Amino acid sequence: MNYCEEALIQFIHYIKSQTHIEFDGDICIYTLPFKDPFSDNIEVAISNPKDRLFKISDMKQCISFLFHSGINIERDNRYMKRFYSIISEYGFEFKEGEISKVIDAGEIGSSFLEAIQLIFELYGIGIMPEIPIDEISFQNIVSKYLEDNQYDFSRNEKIKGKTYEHTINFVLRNGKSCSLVEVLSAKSSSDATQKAKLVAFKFFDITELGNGYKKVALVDDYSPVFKKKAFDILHEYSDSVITWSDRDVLLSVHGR
Amino acid sequence: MIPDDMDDWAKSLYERRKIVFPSSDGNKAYYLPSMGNDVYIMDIALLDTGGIPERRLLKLRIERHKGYAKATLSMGGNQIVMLHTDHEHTNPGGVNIGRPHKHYLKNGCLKYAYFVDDNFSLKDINEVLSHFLKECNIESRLPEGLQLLMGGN
Repeated sequence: MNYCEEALIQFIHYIKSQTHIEFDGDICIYTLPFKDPFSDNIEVAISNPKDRLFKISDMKQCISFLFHSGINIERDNRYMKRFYSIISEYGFEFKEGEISKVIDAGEIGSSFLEAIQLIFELYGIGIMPEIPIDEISFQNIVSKYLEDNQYDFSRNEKIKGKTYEHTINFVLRNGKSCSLVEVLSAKSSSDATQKAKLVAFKFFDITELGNGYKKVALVDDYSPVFKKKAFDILHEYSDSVITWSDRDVLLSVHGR
Repeated sequence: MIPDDMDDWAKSLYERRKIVFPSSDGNKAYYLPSMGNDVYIMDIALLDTGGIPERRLLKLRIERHKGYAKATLSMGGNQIVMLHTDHEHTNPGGVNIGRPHKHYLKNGCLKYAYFVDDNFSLKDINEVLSHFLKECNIESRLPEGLQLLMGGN
């Protein structure tokens, strides 16, 4: 069984031969022959701030890896809890993006190994995270569309109604003509009906003052949650109800 | 330059016209306090053939790392491309790529990279950003420019 020990010696020797050492001021950076999921070598840094005291650190590698994997430790409690729990298990601390530990000279070997294990464990958080695909808010899409088509418009303008002052998503101007455009986007049919009712109330209340605005409901039909009931409500209180698929109708409604 | 072996899904997103888009809270970019002010995330929208943004958003993450820069374009949890100017890279199989290099999606992961043969300062985060936007077909229509957002060097 002599080869057992020989294999271990060869392995350790090989690891050593494949490890690159460079100095950044008084910090010693070890580029190790262990690869992260992007096939980049992982690095561990050791500095010697005081006699017999050493600092071992990941040089912000872990937080950087997680950041580029789409994980925002600060904004997601699930990840944050796991992140801090792993770090404390290894007795390291997290400060200003860096994971580190101050050790005695006699602990360098074991802490070096712990740092490598810790880095790999933290990388595990970033592998295949389930992150939903973000969507642009419908209002921003409409705003971009209006900009591109050179509409004269303002956003979130206050318009007086009989009982309240209402915030209108978009106020479009064309000479003396003025259109109030409310955009509607919903996650469910009940949400759609509720939103239609709110817009209907706004338009009704504004009409009561008799100021001659053209009232337009622009409906997000990306998902089919706006049903007949919601459309009926909108048609009753709006001059025009336009779906996003037919957005160019807005041009004629607005008199351009 | 797009590698032929980039996954089709990523290639189609990479080639499409895109635009830096204001995020839903109205900011064009924001940074994460614990990582310092050298980290930014921007929303990137795909444009349809008429130039109107689609509903899906991509994210551009850019970071000043050890004085150099890293940038990643991703959708959901899937990275599409990742630019590293801070160190060299070796592809699986041992081919040395050097720096700057760009990791790209192949067989569902970003282990492979190609050398980015372009003339820009590896340490200037704004030059890196500008290069990255151009190479990824991302248009910036922000009137004040992104340089201000990145806070210089």
